[in-house]
Amino acid sequence: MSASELKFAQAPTSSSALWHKVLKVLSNRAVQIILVEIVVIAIFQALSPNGAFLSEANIRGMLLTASQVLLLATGQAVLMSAGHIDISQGAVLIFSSVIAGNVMIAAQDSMSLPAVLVLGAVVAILSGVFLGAINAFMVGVVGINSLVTTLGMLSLATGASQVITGGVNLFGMPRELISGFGAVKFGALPLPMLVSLLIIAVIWVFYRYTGWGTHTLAMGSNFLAARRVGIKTLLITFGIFILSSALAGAAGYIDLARYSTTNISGHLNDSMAGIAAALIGGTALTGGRISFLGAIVGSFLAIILQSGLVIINLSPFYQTIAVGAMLLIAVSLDRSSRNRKGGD
Amino acid sequence: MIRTTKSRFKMAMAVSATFAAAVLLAGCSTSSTPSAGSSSGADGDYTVAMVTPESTGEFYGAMYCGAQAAADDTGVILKIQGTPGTSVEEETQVLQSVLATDPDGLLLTVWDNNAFNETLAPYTESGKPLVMPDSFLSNDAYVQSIRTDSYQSSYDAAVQALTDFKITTGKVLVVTDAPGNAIQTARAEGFRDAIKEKSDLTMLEFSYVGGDSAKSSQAVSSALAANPDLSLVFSTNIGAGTGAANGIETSGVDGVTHIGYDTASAQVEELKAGGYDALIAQSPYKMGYEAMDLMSKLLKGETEASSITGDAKTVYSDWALVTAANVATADIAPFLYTTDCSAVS
Amino acid sequence: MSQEVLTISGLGKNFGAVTALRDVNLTVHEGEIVALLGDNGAGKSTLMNIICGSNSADTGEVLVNGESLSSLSDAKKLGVGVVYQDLALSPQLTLAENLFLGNEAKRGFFPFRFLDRPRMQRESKEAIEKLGISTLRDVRLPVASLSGGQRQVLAVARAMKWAKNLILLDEPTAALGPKQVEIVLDSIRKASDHGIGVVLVSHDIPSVLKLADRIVILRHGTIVADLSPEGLSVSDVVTVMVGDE
Repeated sequence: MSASELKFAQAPTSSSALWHKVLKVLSNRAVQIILVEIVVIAIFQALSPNGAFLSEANIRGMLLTASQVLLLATGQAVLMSAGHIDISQGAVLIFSSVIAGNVMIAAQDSMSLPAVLVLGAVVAILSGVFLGAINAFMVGVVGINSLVTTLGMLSLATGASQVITGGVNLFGMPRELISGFGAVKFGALPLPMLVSLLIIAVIWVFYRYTGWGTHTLAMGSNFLAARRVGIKTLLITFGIFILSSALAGAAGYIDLARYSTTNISGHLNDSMAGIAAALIGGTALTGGRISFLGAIVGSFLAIILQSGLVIINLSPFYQTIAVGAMLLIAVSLDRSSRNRKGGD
Repeated sequence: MIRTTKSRFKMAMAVSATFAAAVLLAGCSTSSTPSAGSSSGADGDYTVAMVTPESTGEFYGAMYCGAQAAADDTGVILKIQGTPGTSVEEETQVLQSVLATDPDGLLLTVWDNNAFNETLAPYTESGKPLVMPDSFLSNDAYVQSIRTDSYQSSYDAAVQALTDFKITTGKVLVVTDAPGNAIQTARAEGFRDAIKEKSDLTMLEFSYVGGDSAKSSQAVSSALAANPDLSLVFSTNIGAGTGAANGIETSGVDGVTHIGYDTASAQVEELKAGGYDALIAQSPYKMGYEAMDLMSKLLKGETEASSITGDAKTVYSDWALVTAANVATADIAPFLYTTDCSAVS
Repeated sequence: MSQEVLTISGLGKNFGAVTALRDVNLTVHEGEIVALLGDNGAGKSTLMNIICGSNSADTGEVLVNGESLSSLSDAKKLGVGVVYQDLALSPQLTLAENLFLGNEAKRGFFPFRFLDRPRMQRESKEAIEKLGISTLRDVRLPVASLSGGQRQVLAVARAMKWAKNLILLDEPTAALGPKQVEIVLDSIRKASDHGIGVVLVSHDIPSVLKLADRIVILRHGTIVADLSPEGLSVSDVVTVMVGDE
């Protein structure tokens, strides 16, 4: 919600009041991105053969990809609201999938199948919690900045994954992980996407409606002030880094459920995609501002672009440029946060 | 600075419209590379989709040229897509979108033969043909795989090189990626086994450098220092090869033969400059041509998918040992990787 | 005999080889307004930081209503309100959020204790109106959109709201115009009328002379004078501050 809009509001007549309400909604970055996406979707749909872009199969494919990106973007948004960042999410994702995958393979003979699947999810998330706690310790206790810390964790987690697996991706995952979770769908809506949305909804409720959200924003806005009014900054720091890595762990579980194997040499751009999504959606890099809806729709922008460009058969040589240009434009749409008096 | 919502909104609309125009223009334009848009064909033609990783690289560039040539020859529409990257999730995204266009046939290269089974299941279960140049699937759900026998090509190339370069004694170093990379490991092992079984040379331990030329250079320099009788170096990928060439040159040692794998234009330049003595070349152009040719036959009913079973499901494609002496000959031209189709056909 | 809200005895603080404070003894009674004056480097900020719990002393102790204070959480528990020199406001958060930062109003029961935003907004409006400010209209505006003077008034309002026993103000009128200065001084008087002890650091000596019950002068880390403002002129005060005798 942009304050400058509120300031300029006149004494309303009923139609100008409505217009001002519309303006207020349109000043929301997430809404702007949604509008851009609607236009882009319409264009792709019009250009695609037999309406392939909005076919059930394609929507499902995009939602499956989004199910992982959304989780990472949410973790980034929460961290960014406190003035931190996490570039280790991709590596944490891989590490969690390696641990959870090995546990499930080992357990599938001695436990009932549903229990194995649940165990895998728990182990994946706990792996993320473990690595996130290390990040939090380095940032909150030792005092190293988050970019450097998570850069170190990136190497650590990647290396650990490679040592554990010997560089070879897992084989022999229980088939039910796919049939019972990864491939389950309700029409165009895949179950992993539903689960991700639920997770994000819960996080959003706690962030917006309990003191935790305000305190995190205060830490990003003015860390010293937050300390002084008695906010437990160390506790919150632990909480948000653990959250980011736990979400990466959940995304790792979804990875196993989609591919039935790990992907040790991949996921190199995951953190960047999450950061970009959060930024595009209106979360400020320097802290103090967040938009959950923005992170969600921001995640979809790149996915929509990538799918659409393939469907209309644009040469792969141009695709990278097109996607990059569009993301840049999307980010530059709203820079009013820089223009507030004394803001940032 | 655009402050008011109204002007920002206008800007958003303008930007989207510009984007749309640009996309339309770029997408509809034709160019000499086959990857920009589809080829011509009459209505009612079959449409085949092709998806590979490293879509902007030279190896697959040559493969696209071959596939497009076969598509043109058989009157089938070919749409080539892919990811410039190499990771599973990037290619999965592209594959999902391609499958949504409901192609009549699919030519697919994947670098992980387990991870795509699930994504492909709806396609393969529908009975539509899947032909795989340069790769295969662990669940065998394809009609035919046309690829290089990484192991045997290295093996035979090693034997040939020993003869051609008259190498009879000394030690051999293999610089390769990582134990988890199946193709590179196969190349390395093929070479090693040939040395062990067909010569009197001594094999050193594999040197794992990934694709990192700096690491490779370091590894080769160290090996040269420790083994003055090192006479043969084999690098299994371009990064390793660049580094190995560098390592050999900087250590100033003579009499070391360097054999590399693959013939991207950078490597061919290096070959002509003396950094390599020979390069083992695959034939991506042929792979692409033969895969597309088979696909057309399958679609038109000239060949039955069910007739290709057992060993026939795998076709090993040609390789060649390229040296500075033969690199410019017409015979070798189809073995050099390039995105410029006029150079290969 | 009115209650001592603040008792400092034998306070000392060193930063490495530098002695910032030495043998400081100070008491503040209920409703008393004590001004802390001193030249730059005299130790005022150090003393204020220790009293508010930001920093801890090496020797001596700080008691509020007889209870020991040595940390920020002690200060909060003991009802000590603070206006910091840098205001300690979060610019991206709203007026209401800043006013209630760390003291959010909640409703519901554990573990579902949710923020009561309507109540916080209502009480913020009241707190600001109580100060007599008319220019801070909308408590949902982010603090970044306020002027420096408005922010200072907000910081004072926050301290006034949460202080139960003692208020510390570090340069509370530095950025203010005359009308706003009056508002702040007025609110300080109101607070002291309610029995809250006030410790005030300021360079605005004329205002201080008008307002304070006692003037305590710090020099080289220790208290050199504890005077009544009656009959004192500005130059008298300055003389004691810099030590030209």
